[in-house]
Amino acid sequence: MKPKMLERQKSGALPARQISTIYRVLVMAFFVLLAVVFVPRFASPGNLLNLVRNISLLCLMGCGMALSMLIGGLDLSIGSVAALSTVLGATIISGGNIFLGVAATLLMGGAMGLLNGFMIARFKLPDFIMTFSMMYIARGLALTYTQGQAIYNLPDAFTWIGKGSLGPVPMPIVFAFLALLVLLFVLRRTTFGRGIYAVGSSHKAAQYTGISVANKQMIVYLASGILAALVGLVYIARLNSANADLGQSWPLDAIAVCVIGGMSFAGGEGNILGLLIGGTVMGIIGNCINLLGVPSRFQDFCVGFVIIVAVAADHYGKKRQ
Amino acid sequence: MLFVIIVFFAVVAPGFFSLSNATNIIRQGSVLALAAFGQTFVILIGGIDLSIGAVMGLTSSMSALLMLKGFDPLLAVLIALLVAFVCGLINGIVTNYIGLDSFVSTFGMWSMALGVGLVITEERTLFGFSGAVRVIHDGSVLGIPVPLILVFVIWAILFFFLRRTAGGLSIYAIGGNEEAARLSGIPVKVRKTLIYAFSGFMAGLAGLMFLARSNSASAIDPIGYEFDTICAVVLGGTAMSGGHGGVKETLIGVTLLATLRNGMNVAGVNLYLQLVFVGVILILAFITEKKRTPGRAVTSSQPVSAASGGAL
Repeated sequence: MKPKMLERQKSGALPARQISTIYRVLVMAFFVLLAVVFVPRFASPGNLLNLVRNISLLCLMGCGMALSMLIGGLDLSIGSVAALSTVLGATIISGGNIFLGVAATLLMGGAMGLLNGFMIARFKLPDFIMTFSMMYIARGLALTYTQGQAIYNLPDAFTWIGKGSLGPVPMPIVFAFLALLVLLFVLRRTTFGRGIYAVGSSHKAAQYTGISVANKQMIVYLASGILAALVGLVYIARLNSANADLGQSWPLDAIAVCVIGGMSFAGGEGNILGLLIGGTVMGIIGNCINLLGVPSRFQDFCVGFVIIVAVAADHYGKKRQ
Repeated sequence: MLFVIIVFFAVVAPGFFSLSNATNIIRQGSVLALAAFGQTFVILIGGIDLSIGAVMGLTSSMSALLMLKGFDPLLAVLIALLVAFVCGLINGIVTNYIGLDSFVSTFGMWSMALGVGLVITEERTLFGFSGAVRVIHDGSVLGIPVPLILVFVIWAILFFFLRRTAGGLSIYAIGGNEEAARLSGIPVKVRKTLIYAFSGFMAGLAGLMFLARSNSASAIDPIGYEFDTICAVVLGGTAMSGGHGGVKETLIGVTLLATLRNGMNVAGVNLYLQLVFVGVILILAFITEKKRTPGRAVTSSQPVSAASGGAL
């Protein structure tokens, strides 16, 4: 579940870590059981497909956040970066040039992410302040660009990446699967991935062992920006329109996914299985709230409450061990 | 920097440099100042309060709703302030006794307070309640606007508290080195919890001021104030790591930010672009603060040593 380096470093803590993973799987199973028993229509095939699609998007969002949280930072700008890059990209896409539009979107997302990473690494800005500022900067630019108007008329060939499916598998699931697989490989099997855990555990110690902290930070935020743009593309393809309002709740959702999945703000802790569990729990909560007909305005409250309870329970579990 | 901003807008925007606009800035800045004072205390102990905007929305919509239901305005205001205090208290308890990062607990509270606010107002903007609350924003005593008096009185009390009382100095001690503060006998957890509660209460006051200013209440309008308060505190020069800074610095930061916002309004800068400018200025403030840090560490170590002396 975790890189070998960590296992070697903290071999004494390993059993506890496995327990906490098992504990998390149990919590998830509990949620599933609760949903199946108490929520009507939850187990219907149509709903389950919809649920898995939402879980994929949550996991995809969580991937970028997981990277930044693993090195001990966080990226609050994902929603705004997605909004800015997709409104720019959608202009090109609706003009007919799909490939160029998609490339421009990802490039824009990457550029904003790299700017985050550069400022954090070079000027030692706190991650929180930099990405929080970026959240406002990107949102402001996106709103200025669209003037509040949505961009419609995206060609079918493009909306396929959100609505279509590859064989029997819907595209969002394909993207999430690929992203999780790549992340899993990078974190477990590459020096870069192990370096991320090392930097997250202790910036200073990583620096002394010769790992370039600044380098890791830049790449992680770059990846976070690109992933944000990718999620943005899938979303606008699904909605068939691009809007500067996109993704206002994403940072909170993605943080919830990661935190429920066992990552801490201190960094260096957590794995891909946790991310999947976090995405599933959040997806089920959102899905059940919808099925039970809870008014949308009550959903904010539920999400906030569940995050605090989940994190508190996790914290309590760690203390007991 | 303030001077530069004032001169800039005086040249660029006609009508900026006038008495009526100056009072306007003060009245606008008062909301921010009240909320930012609470944020200052939380940042001084090395935490952060992201729930401020949502708590402001909850307070203003709750007091408006109670007044519409026929409660006495004073009673409505007191109940709403109590709710804000409780929100802050929950932040404090969750952060210090359950041990969550202040970022998670207050972000969660942000979401919950906003949710409750939206539920009780049914996502509407409330109008037509008693105008009694407007006194704290529109009134003036001897020609001085009430918000100015209110902000200065509260500022003076807080300033005195931070610099001249053992309780205030212990806040610097906690922010400087929590473990050392605990070992020197300061009840760290209790103090920290109370600080979050205080921040909630100040957000409540700011929410009421917001209500008085706009004469309407909605749960969502004050969202974003948490960003402005952090911005003001940091612009003033209080360190995010805790232990350095104070309400004097925050007042400067608030003045800067309020002047800037007002100047952009008068100059006709697009509301959306203002977001961009404020974001950029926050980053710049941080970079310049980093450059000053070595010098500041020496000069502002005084309150910390004084604090440990006071605590012993």
